[in-house]
Amino acid sequence: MQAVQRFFRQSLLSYRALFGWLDPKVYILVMVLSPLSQLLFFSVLVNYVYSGEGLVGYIGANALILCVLNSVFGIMSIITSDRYMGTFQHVMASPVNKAGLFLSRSIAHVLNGLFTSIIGFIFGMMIFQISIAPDAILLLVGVWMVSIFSACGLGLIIGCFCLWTPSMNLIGNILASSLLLLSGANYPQSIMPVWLVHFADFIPLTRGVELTKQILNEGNYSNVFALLGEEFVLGVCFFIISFLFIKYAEYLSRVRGTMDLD
Amino acid sequence: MSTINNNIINVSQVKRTYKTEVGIIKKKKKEVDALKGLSFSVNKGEIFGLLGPNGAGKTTMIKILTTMLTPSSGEVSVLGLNPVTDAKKLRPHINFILGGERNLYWRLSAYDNLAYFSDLYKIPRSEQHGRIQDLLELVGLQDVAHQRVETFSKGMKQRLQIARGLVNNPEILFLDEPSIGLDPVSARKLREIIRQLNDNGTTILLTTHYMFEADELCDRIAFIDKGELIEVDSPQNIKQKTNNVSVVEFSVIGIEATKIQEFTHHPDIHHVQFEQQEFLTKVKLHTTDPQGAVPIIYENMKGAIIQDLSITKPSLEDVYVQLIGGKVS
Repeated sequence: MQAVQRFFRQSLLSYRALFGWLDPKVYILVMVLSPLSQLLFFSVLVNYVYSGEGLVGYIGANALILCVLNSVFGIMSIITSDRYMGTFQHVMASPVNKAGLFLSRSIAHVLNGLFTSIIGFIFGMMIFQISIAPDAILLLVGVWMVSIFSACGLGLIIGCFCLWTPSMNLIGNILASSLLLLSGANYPQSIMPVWLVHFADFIPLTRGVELTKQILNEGNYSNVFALLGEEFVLGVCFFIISFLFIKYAEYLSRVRGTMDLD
Repeated sequence: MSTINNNIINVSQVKRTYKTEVGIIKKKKKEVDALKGLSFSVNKGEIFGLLGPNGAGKTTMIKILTTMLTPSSGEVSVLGLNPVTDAKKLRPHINFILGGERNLYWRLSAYDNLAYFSDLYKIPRSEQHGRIQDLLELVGLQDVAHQRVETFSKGMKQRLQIARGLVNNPEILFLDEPSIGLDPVSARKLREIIRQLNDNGTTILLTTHYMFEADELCDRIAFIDKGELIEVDSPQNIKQKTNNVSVVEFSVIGIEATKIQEFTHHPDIHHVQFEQQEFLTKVKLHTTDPQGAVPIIYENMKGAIIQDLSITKPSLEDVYVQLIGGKVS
């Protein structure tokens, strides 16, 4: 029980300590207004292109994509901010289980990403005056939660790159736009080149976007468990890879002496 | 000073080599020996100072002792454990503090910083509150416990770092230049805290560039330079080793540096130290014959104005400069 409480305390305190956009003004600008304008732009665009066909699914998919603010930039701050503040080496030299610690740090961003996506979706529904079936709500929240978890896993891998390169904003922007491009949030995946579709299978949010469209447009829940299971496994794999990166960085610092964690 | 019992840190013939590659296409391997067979031990309950110029290997040694770096060769034992193979067992019993303002979460309050690090050291929640209150009181931050660290002065941040380093009640505390950049009042407060910790039984290993600080705090001192041990003993004994040496100190106006360096040719002058300031040059001569040195000074400095001439016993800094700095510094 102590360990569970500690897990969530670390999650909350890390979030407050490391996430640079927590200032209310900055939070509203970056985490609310900016995502809402992005959602509005793509929703108007798909509404025009597809003449309103499948609009609710596209709004839902675009709302899910808003989570990249947390699952890319927020997660990156878990390592970049820690390093910037000079606390990373203290964390690494403490007796705490590192995998558990970085997982706990990620949980707050999963929840924050979910919050941003829900706000975006409510905003989209209000603007376009659409509604969804009540029984889809909980399922959608579950799908989004797992999808955002998976995206956070990839974000943490990218965050580890800050141990090797200072160009993190560039890498973060490339990842964010890749997720927007490959997930199929604004067009059917079938119009993408085949090789890109295969590549998208290994990218988070792809299955989440597909499920969101199926649930909201078709009321089709039949693929939920299969696709969600794959998305979850993908997320777990991403987290394992990121922990291996952190372990490797620790090895380089401790044994080879070629990396300074400070 | 505390009672000294037994060795708590043993360092034997420790070497650390950094291997780097230079160039992109034609890579050249470069090796830098940061430590070249360093050996010393620290007794339980003492304050041990590791002193040396920049690049001497002090931080490398601290990193090895705190499990953050492995030695290339040699033996290290901390609390009877090997920091390389027993890092997980050792980490709960030690802690370290690095100088400077960083190493804290500035967006959190002092209390939350300590709570966070307490969790990292798996301190049970039931013990955390009381311990954090005690630590904040120890470092004089109890009144600002719930203020964000970003509002703190440099001295307050340094003191909070000390508290952070004590969350797990470590048996050994490693301090790497803890008073760097502090004003005299804050530095004195920090020294008081270090002494208080030591009185309570914490063994302390510290590095510093401030000789008076080492002289005031340390039971024993190791001078290291270029990865090698130069001297290890108590400050008193180190100073006594130069018992027959006196320091002739004076200020001079209107003289070239080369003229001052000429003092090194005199057989009874063992070390010449000078610092050029805006209008004058401060000179220190280490000599076994101070009475003989004074006429030589006036003879060599003909035409120059000599002020504030005095003869004193060497301070720890004088000994350090003599040992590390060669004939002239």
